[in-house]
Amino acid sequence: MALHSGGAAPTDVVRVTPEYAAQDLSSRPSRSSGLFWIALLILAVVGVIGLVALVREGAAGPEPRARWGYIVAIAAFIFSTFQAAPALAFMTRLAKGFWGISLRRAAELGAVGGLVSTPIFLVALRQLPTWEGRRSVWFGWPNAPQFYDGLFFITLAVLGLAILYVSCIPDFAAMRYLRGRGLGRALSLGWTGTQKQWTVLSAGIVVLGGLYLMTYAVLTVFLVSDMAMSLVPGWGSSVFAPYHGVSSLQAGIATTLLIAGVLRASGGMRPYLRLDSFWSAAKPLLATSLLFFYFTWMELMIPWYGKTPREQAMLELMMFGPYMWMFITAFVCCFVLPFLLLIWNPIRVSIRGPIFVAAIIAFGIFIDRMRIYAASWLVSGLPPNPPEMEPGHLPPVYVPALPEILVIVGALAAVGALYLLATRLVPAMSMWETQYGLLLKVEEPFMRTEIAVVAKPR
Amino acid sequence: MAQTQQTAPTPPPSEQHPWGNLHQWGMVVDIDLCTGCQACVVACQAENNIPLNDEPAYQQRRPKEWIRVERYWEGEFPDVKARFLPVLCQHCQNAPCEPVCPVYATYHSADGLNVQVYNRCVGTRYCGNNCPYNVRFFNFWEPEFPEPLGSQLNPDVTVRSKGIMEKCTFCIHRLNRAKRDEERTGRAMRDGDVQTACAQACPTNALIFGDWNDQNSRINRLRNDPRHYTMLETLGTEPVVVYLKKVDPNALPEELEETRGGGQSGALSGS
Amino acid sequence: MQERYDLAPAEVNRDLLHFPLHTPLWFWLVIMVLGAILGAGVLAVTAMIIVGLQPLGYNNTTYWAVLITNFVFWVGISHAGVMISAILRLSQAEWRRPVTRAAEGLTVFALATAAIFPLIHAGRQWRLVYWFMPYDFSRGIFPDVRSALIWDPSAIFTYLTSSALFVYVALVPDLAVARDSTTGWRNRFYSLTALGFHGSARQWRFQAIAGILLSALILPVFVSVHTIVSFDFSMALLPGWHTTVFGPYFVIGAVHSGVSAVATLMAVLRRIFHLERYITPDHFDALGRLLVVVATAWLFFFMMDFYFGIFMQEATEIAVWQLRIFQMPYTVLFIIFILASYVIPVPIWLFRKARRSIAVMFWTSLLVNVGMWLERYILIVPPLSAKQPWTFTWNEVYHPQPIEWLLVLFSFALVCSGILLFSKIFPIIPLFDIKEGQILKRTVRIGRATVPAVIRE
Repeated sequence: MALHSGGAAPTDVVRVTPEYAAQDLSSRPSRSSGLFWIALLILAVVGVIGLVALVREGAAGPEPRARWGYIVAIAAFIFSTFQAAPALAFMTRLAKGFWGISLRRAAELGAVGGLVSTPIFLVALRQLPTWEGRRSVWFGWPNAPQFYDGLFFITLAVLGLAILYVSCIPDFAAMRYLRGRGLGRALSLGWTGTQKQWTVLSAGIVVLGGLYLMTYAVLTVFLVSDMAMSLVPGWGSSVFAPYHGVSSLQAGIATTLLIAGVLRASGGMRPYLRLDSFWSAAKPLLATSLLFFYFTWMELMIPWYGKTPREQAMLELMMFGPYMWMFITAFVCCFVLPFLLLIWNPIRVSIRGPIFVAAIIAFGIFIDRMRIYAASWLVSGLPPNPPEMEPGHLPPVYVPALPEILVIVGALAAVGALYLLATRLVPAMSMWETQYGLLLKVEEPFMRTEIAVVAKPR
Repeated sequence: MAQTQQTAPTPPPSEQHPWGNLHQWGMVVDIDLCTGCQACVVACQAENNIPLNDEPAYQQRRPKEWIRVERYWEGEFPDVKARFLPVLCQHCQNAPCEPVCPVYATYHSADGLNVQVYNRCVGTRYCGNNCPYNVRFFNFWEPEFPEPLGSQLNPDVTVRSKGIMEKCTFCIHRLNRAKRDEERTGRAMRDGDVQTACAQACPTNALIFGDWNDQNSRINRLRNDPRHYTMLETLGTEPVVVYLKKVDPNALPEELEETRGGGQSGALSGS
Repeated sequence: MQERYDLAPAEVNRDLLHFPLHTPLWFWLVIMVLGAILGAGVLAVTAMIIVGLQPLGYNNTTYWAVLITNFVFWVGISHAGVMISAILRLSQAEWRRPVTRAAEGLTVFALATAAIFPLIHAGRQWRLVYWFMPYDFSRGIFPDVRSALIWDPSAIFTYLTSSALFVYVALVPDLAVARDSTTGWRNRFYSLTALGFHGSARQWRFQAIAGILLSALILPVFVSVHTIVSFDFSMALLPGWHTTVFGPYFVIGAVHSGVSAVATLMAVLRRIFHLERYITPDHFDALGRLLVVVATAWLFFFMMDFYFGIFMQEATEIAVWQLRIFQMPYTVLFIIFILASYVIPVPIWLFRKARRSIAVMFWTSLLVNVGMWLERYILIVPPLSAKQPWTFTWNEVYHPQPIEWLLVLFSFALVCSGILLFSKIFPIIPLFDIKEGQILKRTVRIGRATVPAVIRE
């Protein structure tokens, strides 16, 4: 059968060897083009504007509470995309797949999103309505949920940065060796690559990755219950947190693919990001798109079949009433289009195809997060016990005004700026893992074709 | 309490029917009048050929009581009071038992009844699981009527064999007979002409059967009583059986002001 | 260290065809014992049809109990096949090779056994054709597609058909080898079933493509079957059943119990057929690691069910959880369930040494399935006993009757005899898969180390 691994396109004339990878990648952080600086400047300025808008919103107080829905939504979007990516990187490590190697560093760099989303969440936590008489997962503990949620948000952000740092240590050491002293190189902690150091590093990455994944899962539960579900009378869906988690996985893969696309186009990572990476990432992208449909269907079908008044009111608010078009758009962009496109081989087995689908999915998740949190905060003033929502009697939809739009755009720009800054410190392609992959994956002739032989050390 | 006041069920507009104007059968149960005498239970058992509920049936937790009188205790000794709640099939307009039957053995008839079709039932018992009022009963064994009880059976009512679900039918055989009488005599039914066995037997007239579509029926007049509610409203089953809350003459003045109509019997009123 | 044995094709043929071609004494003894249990089960079912459902413990509120628990349990176990065969085939995991056919066989027999249970516990079993046949047998009424009990047979029969096809497509090359190794009536049987396969490049290509296509197509079936079984419960209004997480929760629970069942099965097969060179501790190691991930995901979904059940602070739902956790005997069952499904096995599986020990894997995987059976029971029965706070139902604790346990035993005997007979007729380890694994084996030199490798397809 025809072989697809590697799959060098005619224009990829550079054959990556460990030596080439070392030389090329270690020089990347200090070799930034003019386009890079312009982009960084614009993003930074917009980011600062967004930050100012956020501070002003915070000072303006909770009312009208509906506007905070959009602000929480953009933080949740960053949480779902950039902060989900390190969890994915960890999963590719567990599965020991070689295709993930070229995407891992780009995914782990997504942890910088935590630096943007966490402040927004902390500010938004203070805007929640009083907890008296509300349902919550906190059983009336003191300072809940602000203290505990805040703790988890900060923990996640710190863990993400820790994972990033630990996985960069060998690269910092290599840059110190190849390029001399400098800030990034000073972070290498005197790494020399002995057997013991490698063992500790591998174990550390796995442990931190596991902690990150678990923190992410638990924080998803708290986020959706405190910032969405508790605010909506009559909404107690147990599948919603897993739904949020799975759609975040999908968004994380999509974000990684989009970043990989940018890196390939203008980040000089073309020789590393070949067909194999995109094609192999398209498969979990298809799988998570199907899971998006599956979890959405669970969320929809069971309340719909139950036909109790509370469930009907919830469905009307979240899916079939004022936010119906957002729901449909998200559904189409996160399931229908990705499914129809990715099952078609010419799109899936290509580089541009998965990137295009990833862009559609990222847009769909954006709309979806807006829908969830804007709808929840719209009714956040209603007392949840007993349920006060009645089908047909929802409050009018709040349209985001300039401050919210500035926060939304500013947050995205800030993440972009931080990401670009991070690539000044460390290359967006993991040097040591690329070399590791090259050592373990050998291409040799077999009968009349060439095959890849993949070594599996225990 | 600022609860949404549940109005009595709104019947669909009536259409021309070969038997005459369409009815929407329903019932009002006035808990204030119920003394817990269980005459309704006995009447129903006799009318509908329900097998004997002997000791083994109770020990196996399988007695069939198409209408049962629940008893709730309120208060501490020596001020203990018993509250009675007759529970029968609510013939819900949004019945949870109907969509779950795989063989269409239960469906909603045009005159507002939840109908059980005995010869279609294969006995999966999903309807029994889904009924929140627990008014559906399964025949675990072939019914036996030791002599001379066999002579007492009602010839208008099917005797159900083993493997079939059964429940209150609002004495559909009586309704059918009333319709045939209409055709035969040419005289339209009047309110009170047809009665279910339980309503007929009740000594205090706590159970009142009637037609929601008949504007002058007694149940329509009782609909406006401020004491009215339906059971398990939050489930959205929309029963056609409306209950009237008990008036507690010993309720304290504040409670009396708060809840117009006083204390309620049982934990199953309102939401 | 990886143990990789060098197995010549002739050796593989001889070893793996040994049991189909030679019958040891223990086989007849086991068949007799299983046959006795099957006979007793058939008698019990006949009694249920003639006498009615009176002998069972069901009562006025608890209309579904042990038999439906058993049904859900076996449907869950049947998910192992697709998980191992299809998903591992699509992700090209080498360790799947000896495991696939046993897992697929387990799937087919578990499903067929599961399908019996809703049928035998219907009230009028002789009228079942109204239910699962999509035709208007009487009065022009088709089955009601609004009911979850109609989606059930559709899903299960689809899964049964596609799994059977899946097993058969993977069997064909081995049947050809069996045909070429036998004479007489055996030869005639294998010739018939081998469909004329003679190993040409074209035939191999079709066989491989069919396998991959079926693997991909069976994945949606795999997810939807147990979801539809979960709809039997989540579509109902009962507190404790009416929760949105049941779909994924049931599926991940099915994978958990299914993969554990495969581990049990592999340990048994290894012992009774002396397959030490084909089923190595490596395979159990990989199964164990998969199980840790699956079990943890399952625990997450269970916590979702629990947490958001009591989150709404509805008295009826909290009453169900109180019944499940604080009322005897459900308390004991709950504790056993949690310990057996997660708390005992998973920490054991975190250790490499434990994963590579066949005995440890056998006992822990068996424990998991005990826990998962109890999980289904605790999920199904308490909500039925505590639907709403009526006084005159007095049904807090359900008492299963002996006939129900007999039928549970009958189901185990049915699955065991199914797999035993299957492995008597067809080789239970796929010959061509093992031989393919031998061809794809390579080693890679990295510096001074020689690392085992495999050709990536």
